[in-house]
Amino acid sequence: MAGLSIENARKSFGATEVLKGVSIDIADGEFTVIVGPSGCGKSTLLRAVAGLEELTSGRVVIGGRDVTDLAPSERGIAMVFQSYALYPHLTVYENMAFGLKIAKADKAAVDEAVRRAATTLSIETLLDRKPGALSGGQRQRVAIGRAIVRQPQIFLFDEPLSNLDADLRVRMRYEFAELHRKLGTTTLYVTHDQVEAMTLADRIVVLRDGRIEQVGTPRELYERPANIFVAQFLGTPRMNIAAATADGAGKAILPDGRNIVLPALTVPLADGTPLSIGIRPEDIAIGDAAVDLPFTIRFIERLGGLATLHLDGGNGDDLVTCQLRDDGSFDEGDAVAASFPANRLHLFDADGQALGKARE
Amino acid sequence: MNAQPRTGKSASAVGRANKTRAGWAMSSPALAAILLFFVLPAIASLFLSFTDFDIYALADIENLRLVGLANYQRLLENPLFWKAMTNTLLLVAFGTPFIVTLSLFAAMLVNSRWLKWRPVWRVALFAPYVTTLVATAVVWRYLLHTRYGLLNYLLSFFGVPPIDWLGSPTASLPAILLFVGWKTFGYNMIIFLAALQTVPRELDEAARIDGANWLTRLRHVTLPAIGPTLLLVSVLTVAAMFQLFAEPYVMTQGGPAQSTVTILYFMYEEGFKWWNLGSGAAVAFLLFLCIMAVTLVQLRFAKRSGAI
Repeated sequence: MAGLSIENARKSFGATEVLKGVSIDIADGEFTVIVGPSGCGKSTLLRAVAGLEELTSGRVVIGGRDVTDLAPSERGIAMVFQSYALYPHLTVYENMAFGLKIAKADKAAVDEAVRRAATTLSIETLLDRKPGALSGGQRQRVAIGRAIVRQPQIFLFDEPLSNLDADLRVRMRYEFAELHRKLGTTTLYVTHDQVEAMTLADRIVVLRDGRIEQVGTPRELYERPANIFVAQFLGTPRMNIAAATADGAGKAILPDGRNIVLPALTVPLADGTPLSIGIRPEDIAIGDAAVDLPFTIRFIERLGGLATLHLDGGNGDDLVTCQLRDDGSFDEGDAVAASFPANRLHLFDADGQALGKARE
Repeated sequence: MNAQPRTGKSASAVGRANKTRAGWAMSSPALAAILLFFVLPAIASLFLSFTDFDIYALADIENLRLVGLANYQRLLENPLFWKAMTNTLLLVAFGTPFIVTLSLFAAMLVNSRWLKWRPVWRVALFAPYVTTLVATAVVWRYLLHTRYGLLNYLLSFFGVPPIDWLGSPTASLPAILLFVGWKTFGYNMIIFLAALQTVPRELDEAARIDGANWLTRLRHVTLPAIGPTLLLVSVLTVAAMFQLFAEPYVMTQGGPAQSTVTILYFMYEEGFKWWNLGSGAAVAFLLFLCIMAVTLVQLRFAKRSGAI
């Protein structure tokens, strides 16, 4: 096993620069998830690590060895593709043994490696079948099996759960986590699904337009997003953001004249400073009409245990989303009062970058 | 299930009858065309092959006589028939792999991501197929010219003395084959290209990660993935090779020393030069049997190797 370093990776396709200088250090055994909207360059980055895409500039170092100019098979990586990429005319056994056979490994060693991987993934009974006779989940397991057999230093996953239905995705997510615990192999996992990122990752890398927006543990990213993009990308429903102006006395004035008490900042805001205020839907409390801001419930999404309320401030601004336990006491059209606890607010400057909150 | 009410049963029977009728209605135009343009002519030519149908019978059908297997017997005793059969089988045996390989590699070339100006290449490589045979034959006669031809000029760099491509009985068949290959590979290339574009790129990439080199990827990934297309192109090429006529007709007129007489060329001469139409029909029927036999062998081979 080994760590992985990507150093100032740049990649252009013609005039379009897809990766604009990405640097990531991944520790040995770490499970890192690269997440971002489509077209952000995350798959290109993964493919560059695999050696399937040549970097325009920058280096890829695996286990201290510069592999930038090496062929994919010489990098000590194994990759699981979104489409599984199983060889359709070969049986499951042959699929898993393919790499070792090409490397002219001893027949007994190949057999042992394949059977061990099959046992790990509980697919021993499928070894004689062809991929066409397998379900999506089984194919996914075989694809992982093929990767395990190679005993790679790094596992690369390219949106491996995208082709599965919702139930199976949840189950496979759990199995990925289990597998990583069992094998402890350094893993780079690409997805556009923030739930996968939040649940699987030791560390998440948020990518946008070929640049890293933030790197950190799922909790760090959720609690202390570095900018509005990260704040809104992670979390469902996404974070509410409203434009406001600081009054220089610890409060923010909303465009309609209402004000909100701000948390203490490391650098206090001068009067008239434009800023954005963010709050996660679950942090909004519905409470006391005397002190809180008045809203009307425009629309309710009832999810069973939870309800998402879309609140209208009556000022033509975007609706505010609020999530809370659904006790059935709300109805569309009701007037409610919502409070925005200062310690749950996220503040961003005019460029969308997070403002440092003073330690509480 | 047995306890189904009677009405339900009869309703489903009516539905089935309707479906059957609809099926026949929709397939009957195609079936009629096949019957009219394939089955009837085939039966007619089989019937003709048992007659002495010739120019006199054309003038007056009363002159037509049934001769049983005499046409076939005469054919099998005719050395020129065997010469034509040998030439044709040589063309099938060498031409099919040559053309299929050439088309496959051309398709892979124009499908590869690193090739610049791919549309231009595609057009350039497909162009021979749509150009006029006679015009290109004239150009090829120049290319194959003993003294001034490009081919001999190129070979001279390797120390090969000039070859009389179209004038020597040993070189004429390879020369025809070169011309046929150049003329027809573009069509197969397009079929292969369509198939190659359906092979997921990830398969090739997975094999690269597994350490497979180009040849291994071709053998284990690309060829199995395009197996059915490979079979289709092989069958079409075998049929085309068996029916080669125009190229030797315009390039060599079957010569020199009948070294480029193909079965179809022989049939043409029997039927339209000597007006032995009955005998020509017998040749056609034997050719039909040959093509069918080889195609069946190909199908069996393809089934065994898992291509279909």
